[in-house]
Amino acid sequence: MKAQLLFFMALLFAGTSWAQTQVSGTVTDKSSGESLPGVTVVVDGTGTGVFTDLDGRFSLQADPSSDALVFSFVGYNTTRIKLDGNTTVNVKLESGVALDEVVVTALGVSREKKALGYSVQELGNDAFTQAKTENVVRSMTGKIAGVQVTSGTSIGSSSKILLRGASSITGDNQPLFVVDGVPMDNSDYSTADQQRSAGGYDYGNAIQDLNPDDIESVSVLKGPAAAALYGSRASNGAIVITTKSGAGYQASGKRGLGVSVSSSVMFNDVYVLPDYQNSYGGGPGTAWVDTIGGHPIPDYGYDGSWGPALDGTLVRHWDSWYDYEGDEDFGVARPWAPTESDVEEFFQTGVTYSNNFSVTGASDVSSFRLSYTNHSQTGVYENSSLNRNTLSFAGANQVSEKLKASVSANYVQSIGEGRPLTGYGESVMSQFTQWGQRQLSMDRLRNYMNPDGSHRTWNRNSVTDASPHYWDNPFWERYMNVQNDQRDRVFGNITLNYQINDVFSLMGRALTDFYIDRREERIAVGGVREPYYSEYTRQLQETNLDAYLNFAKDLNDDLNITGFLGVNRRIRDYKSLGAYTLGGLNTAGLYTVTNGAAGYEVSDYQDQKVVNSVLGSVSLGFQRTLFLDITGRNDWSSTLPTENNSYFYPSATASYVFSEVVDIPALSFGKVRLGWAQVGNDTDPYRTGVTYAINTNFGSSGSATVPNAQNNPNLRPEITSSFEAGVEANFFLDRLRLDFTYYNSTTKDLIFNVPVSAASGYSSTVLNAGETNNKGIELALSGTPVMTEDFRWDIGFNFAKNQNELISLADGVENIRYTSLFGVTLEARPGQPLGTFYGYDFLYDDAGNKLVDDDGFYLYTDEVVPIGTILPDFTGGVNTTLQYKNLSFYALVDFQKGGSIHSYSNQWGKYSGTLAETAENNIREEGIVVEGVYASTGEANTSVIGAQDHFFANQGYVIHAADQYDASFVKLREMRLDYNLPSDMTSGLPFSNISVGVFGRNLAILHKNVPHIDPEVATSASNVQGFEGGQLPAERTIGINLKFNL
Amino acid sequence: MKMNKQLFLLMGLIGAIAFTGCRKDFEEINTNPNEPTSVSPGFLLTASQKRIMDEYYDAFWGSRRGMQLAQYWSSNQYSNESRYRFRVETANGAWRDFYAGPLADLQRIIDLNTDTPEDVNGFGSNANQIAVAKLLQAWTYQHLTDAYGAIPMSEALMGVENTTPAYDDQATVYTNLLTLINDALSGMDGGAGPSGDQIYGGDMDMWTKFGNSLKLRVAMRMADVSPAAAQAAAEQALGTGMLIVGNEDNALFNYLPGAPNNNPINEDYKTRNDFAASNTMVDVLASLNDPRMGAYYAMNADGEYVGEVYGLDEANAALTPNDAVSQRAEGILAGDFPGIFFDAAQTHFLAAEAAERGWTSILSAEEHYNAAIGLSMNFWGIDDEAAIADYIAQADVAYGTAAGDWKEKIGRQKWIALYMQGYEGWAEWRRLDFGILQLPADGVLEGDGIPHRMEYPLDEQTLNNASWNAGVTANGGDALNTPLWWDVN
Repeated sequence: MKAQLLFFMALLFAGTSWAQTQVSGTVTDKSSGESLPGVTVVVDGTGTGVFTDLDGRFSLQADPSSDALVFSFVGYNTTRIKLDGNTTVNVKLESGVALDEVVVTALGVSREKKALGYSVQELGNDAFTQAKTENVVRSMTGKIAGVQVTSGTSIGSSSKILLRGASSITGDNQPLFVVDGVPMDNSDYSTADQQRSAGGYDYGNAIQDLNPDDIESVSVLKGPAAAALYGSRASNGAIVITTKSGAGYQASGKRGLGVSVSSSVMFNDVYVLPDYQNSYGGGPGTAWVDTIGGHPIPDYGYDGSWGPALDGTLVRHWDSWYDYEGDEDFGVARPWAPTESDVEEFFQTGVTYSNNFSVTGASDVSSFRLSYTNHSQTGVYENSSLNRNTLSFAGANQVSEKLKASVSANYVQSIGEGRPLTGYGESVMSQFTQWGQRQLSMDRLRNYMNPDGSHRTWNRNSVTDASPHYWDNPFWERYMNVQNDQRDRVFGNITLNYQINDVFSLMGRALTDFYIDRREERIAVGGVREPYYSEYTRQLQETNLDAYLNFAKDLNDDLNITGFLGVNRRIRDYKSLGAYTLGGLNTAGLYTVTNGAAGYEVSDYQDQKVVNSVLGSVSLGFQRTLFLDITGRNDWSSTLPTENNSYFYPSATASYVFSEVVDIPALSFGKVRLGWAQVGNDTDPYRTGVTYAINTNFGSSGSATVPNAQNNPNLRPEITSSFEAGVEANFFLDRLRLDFTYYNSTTKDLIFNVPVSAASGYSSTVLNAGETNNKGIELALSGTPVMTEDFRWDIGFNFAKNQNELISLADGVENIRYTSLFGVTLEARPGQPLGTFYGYDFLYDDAGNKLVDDDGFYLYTDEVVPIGTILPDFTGGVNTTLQYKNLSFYALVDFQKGGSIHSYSNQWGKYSGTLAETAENNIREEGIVVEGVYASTGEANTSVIGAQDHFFANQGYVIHAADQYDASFVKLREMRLDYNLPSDMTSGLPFSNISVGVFGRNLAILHKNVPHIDPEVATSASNVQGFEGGQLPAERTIGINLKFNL
Repeated sequence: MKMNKQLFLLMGLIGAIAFTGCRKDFEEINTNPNEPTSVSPGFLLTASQKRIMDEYYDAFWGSRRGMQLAQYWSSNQYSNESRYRFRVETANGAWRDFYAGPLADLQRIIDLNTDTPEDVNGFGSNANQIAVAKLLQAWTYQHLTDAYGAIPMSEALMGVENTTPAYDDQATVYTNLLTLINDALSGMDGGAGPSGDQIYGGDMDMWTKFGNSLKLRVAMRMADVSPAAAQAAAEQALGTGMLIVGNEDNALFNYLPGAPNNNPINEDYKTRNDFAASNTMVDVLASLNDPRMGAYYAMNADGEYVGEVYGLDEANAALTPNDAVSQRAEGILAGDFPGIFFDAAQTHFLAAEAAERGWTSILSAEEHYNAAIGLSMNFWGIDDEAAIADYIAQADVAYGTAAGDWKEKIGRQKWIALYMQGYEGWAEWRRLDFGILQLPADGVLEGDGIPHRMEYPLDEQTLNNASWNAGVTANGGDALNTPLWWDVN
């Protein structure tokens, strides 16, 4: 075994020693002969590179015998030159022929960016690997105009991504993810409670299975125009991901094997915690429950902090009542004082190791890449972990001159354990912030179990009754109620390409995405909740079968035509089987459904959906300045009624490179784009027929009910029509770059399960319910203010503003409700943005003063009114890169203005007296006179009210608007420093292309308007957003990277 | 040219492979394999009966509202509801769970037996299935209207055909209730009773008794505002002689011991203990030496019956240790404590009232009154007839000597007997004006005094606004203190 390994290593290292020499030269414009400054010169296949200076000169270390240099510059053709022993290389770059920035578009087709009539933006591998997270979606935060990412915290949690905002009230509005042509499932199976922050686990959305190390590039196709060809699911745009393969390695002329290694270590810490008060301890009022031996007994059963002042009085704390042998705390009175071990000590530093090892190989006719990645993470919550292993293979073989076969296969295993509970009712943050006793010591709580295995919690019912009243010891929750989950996923494709002749080629492929997702949840015997065990197994497979006939022909010197005609069949199969115990557990610690004290319940479900499609596209290019694309697609969906199940949708886009025609000073490139597109959409399976819901038998009697949701046999497909216009302009030899887009899209016949008055006999009805409009602008501005031989400074700015509105609703439907919690509802009403909060608001006089009643309490509206919307006014980011020789620094700040959240941490934290403001300004001793005027007289309020009355009656519990907050933020999202070791430093070593980096993510909230919590709130990837309850504290990541080739 | 032919051939072949399946398949693919497209109406009946009681004893609807409005229980924590700060959204669940739950299921039974009678006549005669469904609908509608006043009824349960049903004012609801009950009673035939009947096992004689007893209750509740109609209905009901007059006739839903078929109070108690005996009730029982005390409540740690003061604020409620006050009796917290639709004691109290009003003369008011008390005692497990007789003989209980007019006498004892039927206890307090109930000790948080109705659920405001507004107008307001149509004085 060892001998084999040595042999393997020897093979790897063979021929890896280089003779490094100084190579220099000049770069000029081929037509004008002028020297070109700022051209990137890279030793091919390495990270080593420099820029040309103002005179177009460069100089770097390379091996003249084997290396090649690659010269690239915006607006010029990239040129690769093999050194062949030369140490001086003078290069003439060709411009004007093409600004051939190539991007990957729908169906994986690489297109010249300038030919596109719609907006596409790309991110490279660096964006995902230099500051890693466990969910690739997070890496896109703030980097692209119009891409809004909202992430949860804690291991493997959700990240919701929206392109151009939410257009629909249906589904989750997220774009379609496509990996090497495989449409990837991105479900999270979150419960309704999870979405509205009322409790449950955040299992994250399934796209987090993607391994950042395997990503070569990501194209973001915003809006339906870009994605018309992917069909319905891409009506919110598409994120097209190309993974690494051996193709690039082969194309660069390399042969044999190459090995690269990349490692990261990351540390996560909690950095946003509420401001707590430390003056008063637990209890409903300042009286003690009783005294014993002269020592007061606090009220352990009350989960609020309106208790006696923390003045050092010796009291019998909760843990002084456990009479076990050797328990030193038994019977001992200790000071009633501010805690010496507060909430932050509940959390630990989470550590993540991510290691990638890949082998790339190529011969003249074939290439491959094999990669293994391990991501091993412990959370800031004790006893929580996420472990992910990814094995991926991509290979291609030129079978004959005309036939090429390629295959890619990926296996991902993701194992989570001990995820924290989230939400208002269950999260440990709830018992720290919303319903807690402030004097508690985390150190003391850490001892959560008695010698006999019974539960020790602060929230005991009374002195004589040690059972928990409302809350488990938070460490008991961590170590006894442990969930675990595992997802095993396989995805990949087999593709055959046959070049029929110069004009036509044929492609056939089969793609599949398959996973089994298993979740187990436990509640131990001895806690406050009924002991419980559940297991859910979900299996999903989506298979796509495609065939495309592609054609490309230059009709004459001025006109070329490309396009394809294709067919697609999509088959989606979903099955789930769940079982859970009833009535508690018979045997403590035995987690199997058959251990249910009153038996168990099983639920199984399956659905299937098939969509057949015919699609085609024709692209015309005229004189390489005017481009026209026309596409059409017809779908037949199994989910719609037979008579309405066929729908056709076309698109037409055009682009015109005006800088080729008109000469504008300082303008190096200019293009206008116009596009119009439609996308049709079907619905979920089984929404057209009549069925009944079967209940558990009552004794021996069957039991069934009419479902709460009424199906509809007359559904029609929904259709989104969108218009997009844009301009791209580069100035000063591309040193300043501008990309601007305006879009406007309308969705008609939205299919929605509309909540209706239950008096109709149903709580919801599936309808073609309405029409929405979404419009906005996107701006990306970037520049290179400084560029010298050794130094380059880039700065980028992106900005997006999206407005949406529910235009109209079907007859008999007054509004559409997403969810509600404690009386606050999230709704869509005609004339309002999608996702508007409704609740009671303060009453104001004409001068804007709040009105109070004669007792000095705020008055509020009789009816619920709009009190905020989840839709931000605008979002964006600013990033900068400084590069000095081999050292580069990157920083990203992103921001959101506006948008609204409802915070239950604030609401209940004030209600229960844990937050700082409940003990400030002597409010507990002297009460408060709230700012406002008497409704009766118009005079300024002078009535004093007690603190507890104030925080009860004047807050969000009663007046919802009081705890509705502006979600604006400015965050220092990412910073990193990377260094590529010059190759002369590594010569003689078995390693090459060594780079090291340090990075930080979520480093600081530079600005926010909501107290106590992080305004970025996500507990699921669903449409239901904006409710915060028991928020898991935001985490900051610091990490280091190491990459090298063998 | 030849090339092109080959190409089209190839494309056609690929197309054929890709479309292995035609449109016909699609209907099959989109047929839900998880749920049946038809079920026995008996399954719907079982579910309806259970779900009505599940909601009646729901933690928010039953324990925090009904049982506290009648002051049978106090809150020992989170006491806002006992001081009449009901968060309107907590009524959303009950509204949905009655209308989109059992009312809709019962309507489906009626529709199936009307539209496709031959498909379902194997589960009881069509007429009898319809009759039982209508009686249970009437029971549920009365429960809802007595809580709210105007409610959707004549336009309700029409699904997508009317998603914003109008509210009928309470006078109309009561007229409709009598029609519904009369239709049910006159519609019954000699065929088999419905299958799936957990209350009476399909015994149609028993359903006749249920229908007449319910009719008597509806009539008596409107007696003060619509005496002529009330008298006619009461006389009809009493005249049949087919009423729930013995405990063996009681309409009970017999819960099973374990989840999910246990009483919701039992389920709630597994994780929370927010309620204790109310001093209002305990004090009355104690003053009368009522033998039902031990069946209603448990002794505190000192072996005494002590009620928790009704309507304490959060701080004061929390300061009362749970073991210092009487908790709910073990039997009430048991999983199989039955849901009570109607009991014989109630019929006799109603009949006593009818006698006082001169609408029946078979037995005297006092005879009915004594029978009612005895039946209640029996129901709660007190079979010592001598003890019962002693109880009734007490001056404060005996019909001849007890304080107040007949309304107060009947009202007081009826309130005691209606324990575990909180909404009925509260309704009779509003109608018979017998006093006893006290203002919350730490003050009323919303409204003025003890509520006379519930505020509509928030959902109706947002999902059915125009109809809701009209309903509010019909009631004369949407406040807790707005009296209902039948609630005069």
